[in-house]
Amino acid sequence: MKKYLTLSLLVFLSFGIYAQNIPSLELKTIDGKTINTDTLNKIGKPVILDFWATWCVPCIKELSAISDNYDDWKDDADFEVIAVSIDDSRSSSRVAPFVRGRGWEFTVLLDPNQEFKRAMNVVNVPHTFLLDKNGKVVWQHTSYTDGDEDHLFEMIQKLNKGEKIKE
Amino acid sequence: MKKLKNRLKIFFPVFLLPVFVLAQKGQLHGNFQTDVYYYNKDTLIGAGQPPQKIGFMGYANFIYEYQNFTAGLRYEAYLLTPEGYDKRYNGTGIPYKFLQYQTDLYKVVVGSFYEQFGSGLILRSYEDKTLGIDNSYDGILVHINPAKGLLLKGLIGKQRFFWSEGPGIVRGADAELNLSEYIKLLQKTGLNISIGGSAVSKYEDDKDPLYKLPKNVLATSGRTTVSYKNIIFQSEYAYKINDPSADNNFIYQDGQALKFSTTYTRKGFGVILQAQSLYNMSFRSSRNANLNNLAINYIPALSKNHSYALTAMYPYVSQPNGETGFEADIFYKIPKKTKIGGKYGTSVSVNFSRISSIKKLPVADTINIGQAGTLGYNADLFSIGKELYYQDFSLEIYRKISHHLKMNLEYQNLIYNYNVLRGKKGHPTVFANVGVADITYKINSNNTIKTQLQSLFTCQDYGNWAMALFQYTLKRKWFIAIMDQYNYGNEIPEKRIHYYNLSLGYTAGATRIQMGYGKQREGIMCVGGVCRVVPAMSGLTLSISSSF
Amino acid sequence: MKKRYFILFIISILLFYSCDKITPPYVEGGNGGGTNDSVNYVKKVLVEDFTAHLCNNCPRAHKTLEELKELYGDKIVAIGIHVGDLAAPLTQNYFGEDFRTTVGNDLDNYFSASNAGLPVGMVNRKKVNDNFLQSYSEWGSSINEILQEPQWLNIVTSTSFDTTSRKLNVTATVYVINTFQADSGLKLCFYLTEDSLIGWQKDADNESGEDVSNYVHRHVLRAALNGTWGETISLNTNIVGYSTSINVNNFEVSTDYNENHCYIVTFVYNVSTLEILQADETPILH
Repeated sequence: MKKYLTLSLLVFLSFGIYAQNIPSLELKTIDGKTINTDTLNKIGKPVILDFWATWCVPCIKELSAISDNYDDWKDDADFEVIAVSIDDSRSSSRVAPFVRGRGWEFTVLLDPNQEFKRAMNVVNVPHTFLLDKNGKVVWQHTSYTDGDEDHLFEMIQKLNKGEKIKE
Repeated sequence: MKKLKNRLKIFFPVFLLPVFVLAQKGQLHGNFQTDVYYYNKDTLIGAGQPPQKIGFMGYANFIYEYQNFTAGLRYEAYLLTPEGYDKRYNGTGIPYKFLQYQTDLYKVVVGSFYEQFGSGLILRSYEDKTLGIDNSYDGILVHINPAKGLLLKGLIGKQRFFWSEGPGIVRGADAELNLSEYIKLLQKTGLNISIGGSAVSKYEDDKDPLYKLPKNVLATSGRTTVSYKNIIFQSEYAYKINDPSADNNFIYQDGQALKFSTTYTRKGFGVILQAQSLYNMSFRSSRNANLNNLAINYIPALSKNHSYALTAMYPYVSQPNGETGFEADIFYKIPKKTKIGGKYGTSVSVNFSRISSIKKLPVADTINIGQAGTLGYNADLFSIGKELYYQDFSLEIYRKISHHLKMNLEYQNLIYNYNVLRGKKGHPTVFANVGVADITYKINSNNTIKTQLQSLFTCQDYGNWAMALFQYTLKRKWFIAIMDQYNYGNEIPEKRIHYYNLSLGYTAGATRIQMGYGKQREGIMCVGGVCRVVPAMSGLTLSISSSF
Repeated sequence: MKKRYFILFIISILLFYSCDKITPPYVEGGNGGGTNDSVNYVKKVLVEDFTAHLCNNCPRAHKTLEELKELYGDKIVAIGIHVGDLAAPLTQNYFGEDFRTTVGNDLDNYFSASNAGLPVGMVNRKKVNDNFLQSYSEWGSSINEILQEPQWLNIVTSTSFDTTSRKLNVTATVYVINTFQADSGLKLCFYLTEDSLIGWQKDADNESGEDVSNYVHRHVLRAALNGTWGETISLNTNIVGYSTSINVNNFEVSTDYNENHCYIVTFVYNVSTLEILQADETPILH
């Protein structure tokens, strides 16, 4: 009996081994263009997919840290940053001036009814995913501490070299 | 017994095989969260201990995707509902389950779903576990994309009401057209125009012997977004026919809402001006529902979402029965390597919002304003009534001082109409000034210290507060924090209490485990303008969450 | 191909487009009292209104209850049960009355009324969507539905009150009008209510200010003569016309109560569901 229970548990756990692709949803950028999230599967380079909100202090710290290093990192590695704001209609109009006012240069998407957040099973923000060049989730992390961005950059460099990521 | 075992030996792998094959082809992912509370009775702060002593809330989401097909469900357990949440959640079940099929042309969902039309003024269905709100639909949702830039939506369903459903049936349709993606001429000029419109109708039977109640209530809205180079202009208007309900004391007036915003941005600078006015815009799928139950629409609060404990102590709650408000934000980054900006630059943001009641005029001399069974009142959008509901000014400065030291400072000046925003009477309007200093010092790549000092000055309500928080993070995984909120300014000496809290946590990947012990003051917790009263609590809290 | 979808979509929008614009008068004509009741028994519904003098939204429930009483006449028996912290007295001259009672507190504890938030009430203690408690805007439709059911029982109450000794005798005879099942049996309660008590009440809708000092409190629950949950009566509910009597003797009515405004509310309920089958109201003085 024990053997079968173990086997079924292994089968269940094996589900986790298969890396997640990005589901297909229509979201708007802060410029008003509509983007389908499944294009994230086809970018062809590693992507930092970062869920944040204008009222979330650690989220802003994380994206500020990424933004501070953005130019230097872009010189040394090939990657994209997609920041998805889960601000609802109370603060979603403020996202554009907020992002521009801080001088952030990466792509920002608006998810005002948290559809993308639900589809990606995010519990709390900040929540950051790292996608490989095929759009598969190879790493994810919740909350932010100073220095997390350096670890992110290390992993991007590894992905650029074609190495695999371990948690 | 041996026969059974033999049978199992054959059937089990056969059963597992299709599951295993499907698992190879599709992908299964999900998340879960559990919160456990142990309550201590503390009469001084007003914290009670329920008979079961432990509050428990847990849920898990599972989503399975295979080619164009998606299926998902959520299991929830409240054993028993933690204090401050509605006791009607007690129990367990699977309140959310759906099947979805999606192609480039269309998407259809059967079962449970969430949806928002425009900014949610006439339809928004969402869930927020910290608020205890979940007004998901049980029915059918269809999205159609017949041409580039054109998205059509249609839905029909009943809304979730704890473990059952509300009485009303909601039907809705929405269309949004991005003219610029459709008309090539516009693309060339850089002008981006999109328009949208929705219609939502709810049906609820009328068995009331006193009033002739409308069984079908219709709400419509139109919206437009125009952007050109650095300027964005957005507006939305909503109209709802007579909808007598417990929210508006059964009056027969129509409801209207109008909001618009203008934004200008360029690198390092952004400014936005917003205005919003509405009256009689509560829209639920049950006339008798109250609190956060069975809301069909969502009225966003036109005020800044504050992130710190003391700046968020007196939050604005949207008033669907009538409000007129204005809000302005300026974001500016003082460039780096300048005298004022410092080595890395300094981000400055200013926010101002002011919301008042709307002017209501009597319908006739013999009818009081808001009298049940009558038209109620007459009102005009953007008229300003006698009562100030809320005024908020805040200035925030963020500066990276060095590679190790980062600082965020905030000042807030607040006018808060306690009676209206808390639904009580006999409280004076609160005038408060708040200061926050949030400093993070990175010792090295494995050790970080965060210090937060906050101070609230007011002569009303509980008086002055001071708060201090120290958090130490080790190896970017472990943290320990100690926090104290001290009500030193309370008029009653016995109530000058320290609300201290000690917490420990561990974060690895997407998993977070956090434990806290201490006291929590009673307050109000808001997301977007929808609020939940949080009762005072003394005791232990344990929270585990993960995504997989 | 795509054009067809668009037209189909527009048509479906028009089908969804439905609204009921109501033109005045907004109030129903009503079918209260004076209908062709050729028999001398009337189905009566008990409405219990959990209320308190510091509850500023409660007057809305009181107004609704009065409107329903006007509409349905003697088909409604109403009781106001003052419960919770909001019913506690403040100072002697300011919200000094205390209408809380043992029976009221028992009912509040059992049905969790003040926890649910006042005003809240029950109609025949009948569960709607698995809840006893209903907001006042729902009472009308519940009463309407219940009155369309057959009348199960009839109660005839008689009282005799001695003004000198202040002793009260009450007798109730219960008749089976239509047969029904009550596997765990039936119980009968005698509640004493007092009407037209002048006192303080907070009223959010009062134009000249929330504190009203001369508010007329209606049908205030004062006491239970035979216990909060009453006494068992033996009735064969399968035989039409079957009857039984029950009485309470020598109940002392407090000198604080004005006997001219006192009533006995009698009701019979099903022990297993708690649902009330019939109610009755009689003044103690004739």
